Amino acid sequence: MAADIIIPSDLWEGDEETVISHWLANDGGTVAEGALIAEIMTGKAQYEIRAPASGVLRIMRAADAVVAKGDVIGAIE
Amino acid sequence: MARLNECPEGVRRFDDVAAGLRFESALFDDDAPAVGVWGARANAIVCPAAYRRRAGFAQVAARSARRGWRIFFRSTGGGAVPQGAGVLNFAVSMTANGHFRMESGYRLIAGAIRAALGSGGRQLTTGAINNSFCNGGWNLSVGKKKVVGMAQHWRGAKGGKNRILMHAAILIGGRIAPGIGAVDAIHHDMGLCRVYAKSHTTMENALAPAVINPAAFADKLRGAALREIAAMDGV
Repeated sequence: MAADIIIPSDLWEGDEETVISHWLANDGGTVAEGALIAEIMTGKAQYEIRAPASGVLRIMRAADAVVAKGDVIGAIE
Repeated sequence: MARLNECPEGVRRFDDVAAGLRFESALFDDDAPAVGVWGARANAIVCPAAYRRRAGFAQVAARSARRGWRIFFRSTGGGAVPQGAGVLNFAVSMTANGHFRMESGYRLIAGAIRAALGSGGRQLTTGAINNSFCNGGWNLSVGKKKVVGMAQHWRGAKGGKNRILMHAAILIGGRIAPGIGAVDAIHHDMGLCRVYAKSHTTMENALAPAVINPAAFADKLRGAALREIAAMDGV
């Protein structure tokens, strides 16, 4: 069962969007739960995104994409 | 309150910025509240680690090094920042609960800086400054000239908490034009906006005598940060 990779909704105030700074794992690659897989940046604050489960990473939004709170940017299958 | 890791000296002085960045990383990698104030003797530019992944950045870095401004990388966000004798770095690291927001971090740093300046702190305004280095909505400025830039790094911790590094680059004194010019040159090479010295000033120029003694100012910064952290619930 897939585990979604979701932009957190409680890191910053307001509805400001964020940018996916980069992915640190490849689409289709195997990742372990808790591994650092991406970073996002909002207002010069860099936030680490970690794998919610072990499995194969599916990237749905590319690096440099502008995303919002709650957006699904990938999944672990 | 959990044990606090605190730099005992006024300002930790490092020969180069790499040592200072390692000092900050150690604060971040700990699990207790930690405060540090440091400066680097050698001129350098610090960029967010994300720049390293940009196409052509190796050439940008090589050109900057030939100009005498070697580039180093940090874990927080933002843009290129000059370092050297006129810049003081103020770093706070803590583990915060789920109520703490990124804006909370900027308010903590800004509040500590204002408190450390005493009456001079009331002259600081918050907001973006056009054509300033590492521009952002939480710059601190005097007379529409930037004196402080801030950035953060967040990492998930146990129990739904977050480990956070918040830091500020404070233009303390001396000649800032060379460092600003070095950032402007990097921006030119990267196709980014112009950065002008006239968009910046120093604490000594704008707020003297509040920060004539950097070591005393550093001690006030640490004290103010400790009080801010102690007042927080769930840290």
